[in-house]
Formats: sequence, C-alpha cells, structure tokens
Amino acid sequence: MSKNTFSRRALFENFLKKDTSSNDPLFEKYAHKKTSARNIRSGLAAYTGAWTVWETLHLLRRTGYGFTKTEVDALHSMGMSAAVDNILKINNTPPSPPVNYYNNTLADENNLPYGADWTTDAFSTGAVGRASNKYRWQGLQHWNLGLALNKENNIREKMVWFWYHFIPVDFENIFLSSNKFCNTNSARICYQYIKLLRDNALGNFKTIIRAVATQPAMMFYLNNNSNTKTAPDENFAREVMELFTLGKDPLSQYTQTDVEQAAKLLTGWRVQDLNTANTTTQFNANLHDTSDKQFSSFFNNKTISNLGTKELDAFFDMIFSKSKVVSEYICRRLYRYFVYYDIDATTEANVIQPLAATFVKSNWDIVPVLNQLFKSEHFFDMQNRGSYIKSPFDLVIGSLRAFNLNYNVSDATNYEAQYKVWGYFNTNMLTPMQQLMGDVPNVSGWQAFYQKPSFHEYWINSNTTQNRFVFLQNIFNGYNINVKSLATRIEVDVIAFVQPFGNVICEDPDLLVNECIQYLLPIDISAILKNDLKLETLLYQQTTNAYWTSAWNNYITDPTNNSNKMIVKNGLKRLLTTITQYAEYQLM
Amino acid sequence: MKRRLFLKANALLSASLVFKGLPVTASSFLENEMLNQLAQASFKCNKILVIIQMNGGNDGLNTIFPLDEWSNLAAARANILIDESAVLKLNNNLTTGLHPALAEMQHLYNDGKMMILQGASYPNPNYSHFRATDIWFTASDSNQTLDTGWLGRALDNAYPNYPTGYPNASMPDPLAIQIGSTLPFSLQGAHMNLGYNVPNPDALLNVINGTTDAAPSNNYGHELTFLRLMKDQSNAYTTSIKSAYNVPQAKSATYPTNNRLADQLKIVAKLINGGLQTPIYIVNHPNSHDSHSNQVTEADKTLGAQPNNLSILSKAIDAFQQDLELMGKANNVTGMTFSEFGRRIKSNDSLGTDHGAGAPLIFFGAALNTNPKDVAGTAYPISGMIGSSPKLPQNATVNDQVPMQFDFRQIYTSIMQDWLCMTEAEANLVLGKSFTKLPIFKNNILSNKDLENTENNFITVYPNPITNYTINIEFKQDINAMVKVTIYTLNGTIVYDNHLQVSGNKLRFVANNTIASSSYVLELTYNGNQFYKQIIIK
Repeated sequence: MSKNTFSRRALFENFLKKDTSSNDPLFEKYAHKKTSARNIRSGLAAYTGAWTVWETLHLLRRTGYGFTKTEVDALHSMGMSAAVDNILKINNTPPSPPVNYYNNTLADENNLPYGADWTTDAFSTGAVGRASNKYRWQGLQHWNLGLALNKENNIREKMVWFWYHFIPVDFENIFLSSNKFCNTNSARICYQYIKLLRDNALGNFKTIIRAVATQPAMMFYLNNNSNTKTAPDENFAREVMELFTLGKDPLSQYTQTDVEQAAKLLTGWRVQDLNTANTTTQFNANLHDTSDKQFSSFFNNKTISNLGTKELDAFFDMIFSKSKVVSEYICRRLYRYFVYYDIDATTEANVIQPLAATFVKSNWDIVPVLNQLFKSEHFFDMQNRGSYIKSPFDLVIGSLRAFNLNYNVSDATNYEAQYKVWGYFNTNMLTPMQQLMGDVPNVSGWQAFYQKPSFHEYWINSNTTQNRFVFLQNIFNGYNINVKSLATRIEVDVIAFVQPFGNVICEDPDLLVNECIQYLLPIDISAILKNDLKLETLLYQQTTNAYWTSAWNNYITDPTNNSNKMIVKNGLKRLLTTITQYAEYQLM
Repeated sequence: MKRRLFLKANALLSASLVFKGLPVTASSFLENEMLNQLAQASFKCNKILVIIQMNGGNDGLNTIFPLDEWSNLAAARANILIDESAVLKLNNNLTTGLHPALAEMQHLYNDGKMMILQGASYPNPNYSHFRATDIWFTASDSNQTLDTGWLGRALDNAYPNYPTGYPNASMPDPLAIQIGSTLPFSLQGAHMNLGYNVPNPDALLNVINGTTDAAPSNNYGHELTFLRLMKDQSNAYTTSIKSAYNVPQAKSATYPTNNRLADQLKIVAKLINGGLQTPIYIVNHPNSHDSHSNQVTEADKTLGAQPNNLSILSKAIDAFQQDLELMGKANNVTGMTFSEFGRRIKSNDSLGTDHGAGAPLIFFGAALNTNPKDVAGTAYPISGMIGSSPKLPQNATVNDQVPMQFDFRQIYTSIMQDWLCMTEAEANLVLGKSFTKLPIFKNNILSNKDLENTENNFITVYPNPITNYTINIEFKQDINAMVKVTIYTLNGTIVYDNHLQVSGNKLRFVANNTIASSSYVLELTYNGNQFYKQIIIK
C-alpha cells in the first residue's frame, strides 16, 4: 500500500512480518465464511437496558485491556452513563518517561546514569550512541507495555494505541533511516511521537494530525524529510489523505494530481537539531516549492498559493472541509477498533453517519463521538457482544491484568529487571501473536483493523492460534523470569483471583463457576456446560457440592495448611485453565 | 506404511514449529535438534497404557469378593452383600470371585487377560476425594504435595523439551490423550500439561471429522466457529489423529450401546488401530463411584448404582479387548483401572459405604503375567492375582479399613520399567525414590515378539556372532531412511538404542563396547514395522 523506502534490513524484516494468514491454508479455509448477516438494527439512542456486571465488563474490555475486579466494581456501582463518563475522563499528566535500564548490559554511550531519563539526552556526533539508542527504543516498547498494564480506569492507553495503529510510525524503521543522526537519536523522536499521541489521547483529531505532519518521527517514517522541490517525495502526501484523513471509501475522490500538489505543498519542512535535545521540524523557505498548488474538483479546484508555513494549515483546512468524508472515515476506523468490523448498510446509516455528524459538530473533538458511541444501545446490543476477536494486546495485556500477574517487579527501582520483564512479555507473548507496540507491518497499521474481507480474523492463523492457547496454558502452569538477582514468578494465583468474589460464592461450586464464566467469557454458557465444568474441575467428577464447600472452608479456616491449599488451588486451576482454553475466551 | 512416510515429511514442513515467533520450515538446524531429541527419547517400545479412572472411590469389596473372608464380610455389610452363590468363580483362584455384573471380565480372567492386584494404597491414606486423587495423580506421599503428575514427569523424562520441536518424525503423535474436557493432573509436567485433551467422545469425533458444535447464528457465533475450527485444526496433532482414526479396520468388535465408557474406548481402539504412537490414553468412567447411599437396591442386591457401574466397565473392557485382538495389537496394550480409594468395610444404614482406603486394581490385556506355569512357585502363585484377599476383622467397626498390601507406586514403577521401557533409574527419578517392582507383566519381552515373522528375512545381520561390536545389517532393498535399532537382552533390558540413517541397503554401526558377551535380540524399526534378529555379541 505504501511506497516506503525501506532499508534492506527493514525490507527483510517487513518480508518476515508479512501477513502469514494469506499463506495459511487453514485460514484460507475458515476465515470470513459468514454464515449470518449482521442483523443489528439499533442505533445511537441512549442505552436504557440492564446495567449488570456483564455490561460493565463489556464496556471495560472494549475500552481498556481486560479488567480488574476493582475497575468492575467501581464502574458497576456508578451506573452506565457515569461509567462511560468516567472512562472518558482522563488525567493528562504525562507518565514519568522511560529510563536507562540497560546500563548493566551496556554502559550508556553518553554516560547517562542508570535509572535516568534518556528522552532529553541526545547523541551529538552521529558516530557514537547507536547501541544505546537501540536499547532506548526497545525500552520505549517495554515502557509502553508497562503503561498499558498499569493503566488507570479510563480509556487513555487504549486511545494511545488507537491513534498509533491509525497513524503509525515503526520504531525500527526510523532507527534504520539513512539520516546520519537517526541511528543514534531515533528513540527520542519516537518517544516524542508517542507522547504527542498520549498527551492528545482524547484530544482534537485535526490538532493531532496537524501536529503529526511535522513530528520528526513521521518526517522520517514517511520521508517528508527528503521531499524537495526538484525531487518531490509523495509518500506522506499520499498517506495523509489515503490513510489518515480521507480514506479510500467511495466518497473519497481525491486524485493523483492532488497527491502531487500536496507533495509540492509539503516541501521545505526539515527536521533540525536531531543531534541535540531540541530537535524540531522547521520550515526552510529555500527548500519550498513556491508555485501555486492547484487541487482537483474534489476540493472545488482549490488553489493554495505561496503561504510559507501557513500552507500546511491551509492544506488541512482544505482536507477537513471534506468533513463528511473525513468524519465518516474516522468513525468507521473507530467502529472497527471498538465495536466490530462488519459495517453493513444499516449500521452505516444508524451508527456511522450520525456519529460522523457528531464529530463534525464537535469540530473534530473526539470525546463527544466516543461518548455517544459508548452510551448507545448499539454499543450494548447483544448482537455486538462477544463478536470481537481479541487483539493480541487485548488477550495478553487483558489476561495479565485480569489474573493480576507479576507484571511489576517487586523492587520498583530495579529498572533493569522491570524493563526486562515487560520486554519478556513483548518478545515471548505479543510477538508470537503478531502485535507489538512500536512495530507495525507497514504504514497501514495492523491489517486486522482495516483489511477486507476478514479484518479481526487476520489475527488468527495456524501459528498465532496455537501461540494464544499456549500463552494461556503457560501463565497457569507458571514459570520464573530471572533477571540477575531478581526472579519474577509468572503464575496465576488462582485463589487470589476468586477470593474477591467473597466466601458465599467461593464455597458454592455452582455460584463459583457462574461467577468465573461471567468475568472471563463475553456471553453466558449453558447450564449443562456449567454443570459439566463444575463436575470435571472443582468436584473431580463427584456429584456432591459439599465436597468443594468443605474443601474451600478448610482452606479459609487454615490457609497455611499446604494440603488444604493445594486441594483448592488444583480445583481452581483446573476450572480457570479450562475456561481460558475455550475458544470463547478469545472473544470479547 | 505410506502414512508414516507422509507424516514424516509432513512433520518436517509443519508450519506449527515456531522459533522466536517465526514459522520455521525444514532446515538443518531443525533436523539436528530433532536428532538430538531422538537420541534421548525413551518411551520407545511401542507399548500403550490405557488408564480407566473410576472417580469417586469404587467399593472394591463389592467388586472383587474375598471368598475366604465371607463370614466377616457378611457380618460387616449384611445390608448390601449379595448372596455368596451369585459370586462369579475364577479359574485357579479359590479365594476370590467377581461381582455378577462382571460376567465379561470373568471370561477375561479365565483367559489370562485380566489381573487383580489386591490392597493397593499408601501409608496414612487420605479420605478426601480431592486430596486422594491428587496423591494418586502425583504419586506423592500422603503428607506431601507435588506440583506435577507422575505421568507428566515420566513423559518429561522421555521427551525432554516438549513441546519445542514436537511433533517430529520420531514422535508425530500426542504424548498422551485424555478424553474429557480437563487435562488430568497426572499428566502435568514441570512446565506444561503433556496431554492432548478431547472434551468428550463427540468432540473427538468432531476433531476427527472436521466439524464442530453449533454456535449461535449471529456474529458472535460466526467468530466462535471460526476460532474453534482454527484452534482444532491448527493443533499440530489434528492431522495425525485424523489419519489414525481413518485407517480402516478389517474387523472390529461390537461395542455395547448406551455405554459412555465403551464410546471412549472405541475411539482409543481406532486410534491404536491407526498406528498412533501415543503411549498413554486416559478415559473416565462416566459415573461417580461415590456410593454413600443406595449403592445397591434393597430388593435385589446384585443390582443398583454400583453394580451398574461395574457392568458398564465390564462390557466396555470386553469389547475393547476383543477389538485389540481383532486388529492384532493386543500384545501392545495394557489397561488399568483405578479409583482414588476403596470404601469402608462396614456398610452404613443407607445401603451404601463411606470413603475407605485400600482397594483392588484391575489390569487387563494380553501381556499380563498370568500364565500359571510362570507364576507357580513365585511369591504370587495364584495366576491372575497379585496379593491375597484383604484380611477383614471379625466384627468390623466404622474405623476398620481394607489394609494396604502394595504401595500404588510399586504399580507405577512396574509400569514404567516393565511396560514403558524406562530404566530403573528413570523410574526412581519420576517417583523420587525406589519402589519394589511387581510381576504384573510377562517378563520375557521375546514372548511378545514374533521371531518367526515372515517378513523377517527383510533384514540380515552379518557376521553373526558379532565381533568388535560392529554390526552390519543388509536390507532386502534400498530404503534410504531413518531406522531405529534397539538391542535387548533376552530378559528385555535395553542395552543399545539409537536412530540411524540408512543410505542404500546397508547399515553398519558400532554398538557400545560395554555390552557383555551374550545372546541378544536386535529390533529394527523401519516405517513403523519391527523386524527382529537374534544376535550373539562376542
């Protein structure tokens, strides 16, 4: 889709990351075999149905990563409308920046101390700092995962990755850029880029895209830094229309001429001072094509004459003047990220178009759009429940959070161990499932969110399917991540998972199965299946509920008795592994 | 034969092998890794163990009757005890009889295809279902808790690094198959559960036939179906299970209907028939054996919930055993029933029995050490039985239990060493200590092997006697394949075992020079077939 000028290494990497689904006979055989139409009529009218734990979890999973019991309780108690308001109320304080975690492996080439913030520390010569820079941008991936794992009870982190997947830069690609300072300084500009997205997580879309256009990371990723009046590079000019604002849906009728004119308009911008802490993108009039930019009839034959730096603002004003096209495109992208991928004519009319109108009316503020969507009867419609295949982020981050695994090491100042634990998750869990922060297959982002006809199903192929179930098996079987002196145990504490349900539920195997299903699966299962589950897991195939009750109470009476504990632990482990090995657990 | 070749090629190209997130196709690295594992694999004697779990604690005293203790038994449980005349008699065993619901098993016993092992338990027995089951699964001491199952440890030992590099040419099939929705704790290894589980017979058939349960007819149902299919079909073992299941069976036994144990065993039989190399199968008796009340009917004490359970067991095992014989695999399969405990000697007033301790275990199959000539004069001279009738007190109280005669880990170590071809040291490692073996299996491995096999002239070993430990094998035709060579003592101990590449029609290799001068049996496995030669090493 894009015409990135990849370095050889990046090209190779891209080849490896190429969609494996298309070569997978199983995927070919089973994907996108729609057996039923959408059959959903509801629109954006406010949802007035029941507000139970099921609905609370639906909201939480779709707008966050998994759930914690505390989050569920907090949102459930406040009612639907307040819960959505709460999800959309974010604290915009930037998190503390990523730090030098790598010094024990490789001393920082600027002598930046262990534990120190590297985001304002530049490598000046271009010759020194490549190794440190690589640790830095990889650390940025780990840090981002850490923020998602430690997210607050709101939508911020999910929105960061919405903007990112939609307007991405690839960290490794920028690292490998041919600019002489990129090799040693790419981490800082990638950090700046993600910071922009996080600072504007619930911001104004037009503001974001205008800022993105001159973000140093984007300047390198889509080559506008090499765009000159004598040798125009159309890469950013094309993608900003095709992917970031107008899209390629039928109403979007910009032309190749528009791309060429936009490329002319975008000349003159250059990243400055990449080797200092004050890296910016500046306009250099000498490099700018001052001729008139004549756009097509799609833009009402608009001419943008020489306005220097103001041309870029005029350009975005022109694009956003196609408000219907832009707003509908972005709303479809939001819909596919938060609701479901299949947008039929009814959904288009009942949801996308009114939502797009809200977007235009809000003058491109995102909050009113999300507020309307998440409070709608369409969002909570049973036809939309459980139909969403969890992305690897949803599955991994969601499971690590829901089962409260040790994603934060015991000693918060042990940065090395902390980043390596997060890095372990990135490398061993998310990478095998083909989604990693800061790492996209190409400028279109992850194809699950845009590629017809199978969309979310593209996450699933012969390899990733098995990797998903193995991941779940492993967190219940348990293992240690050892970083020098610090061992971090990754094993679900199954007793701690159910204990917050309270004794009345925990001691009754029927209630306990019911409660676990409610928290872990998107749609309730049959009473027969629940009973089988109870018999095979909690009761070891006995039919007497009292056996479990007495086992649980023995444990509660004397939690230090290892034998009592193991009986309860083994039963719960069987129950929770069985539920999470259901295909249903992959849905939300 | 074709199938094995196909699988071998297929396993190497399998896209399910992933290193660092990248699918790996055939490469020299992979082959070397595989050879590495081949060298270490030790469940290599093509023997199969089928375990039938009778959950809930079966009443052993109402299954295997101690005829020599009848009056004490009658005193302890008059309200549930059947008439002595109804007990089924056993050949060459005057002290013991079977419940009339076990008519088929009486025939098996009298044919030498069943063995009773009396008084299996462990010191300080635990009467909680959960705890007792875990003890049996993990092979722990009564006061010890372990995180891994005994079979999981045994399989870990035999297939190190599993699942990395599996399936492979040496082990293309699941290490263990459990029919049931939860993998049993017994198969829990140090890092993962080593079983392949199939929720129920219908679902296994679903896997085999490539279909799945109906999901709701909406978007959720659509994605669920997609995920289920991808999950089942992308499992590395689906192909091998399907292929095995679909191998035609010339003649098969008639299984009883409305018998959920028979349904499961029928599937196991089809997989065995199809040549699946899986050494362990676990099936569950469909009913609970936790018979605190009404374990028999008042009107006819030969009937009721527990006799019904026995009838299900007996009919299912009988059909399964017939099936194995019809397919010519009976010598390779042994079955074992177990329950987490027996029940109390003294019955309660509700026509039932409470949780107990020791109980008899039942083995079935054609490889059991049941020949009267072989057992005469040994410590266990009654053919088809190890141990003796449980000693019952004259007036049993609620505190009296069936005493332990054998630690259940003696059974486990016998299975590992004499059936699954593990060494004593390996078995001790799995159990954490040494237990005395019991003569459950025919002790001479040669009796299982057809040395007059007509295909035997497929290989020639020369010169024979062998000198300088250098063994030359000539094949009737060029084979260009990997073969497995195992050399056994006449008692069945393995002294050499290796996978070797044959190019053309000749193979020459040097065996370890520690092998004592003696007669041995050389077993060569090629394409799933075994060929045997008696050799003398000088």
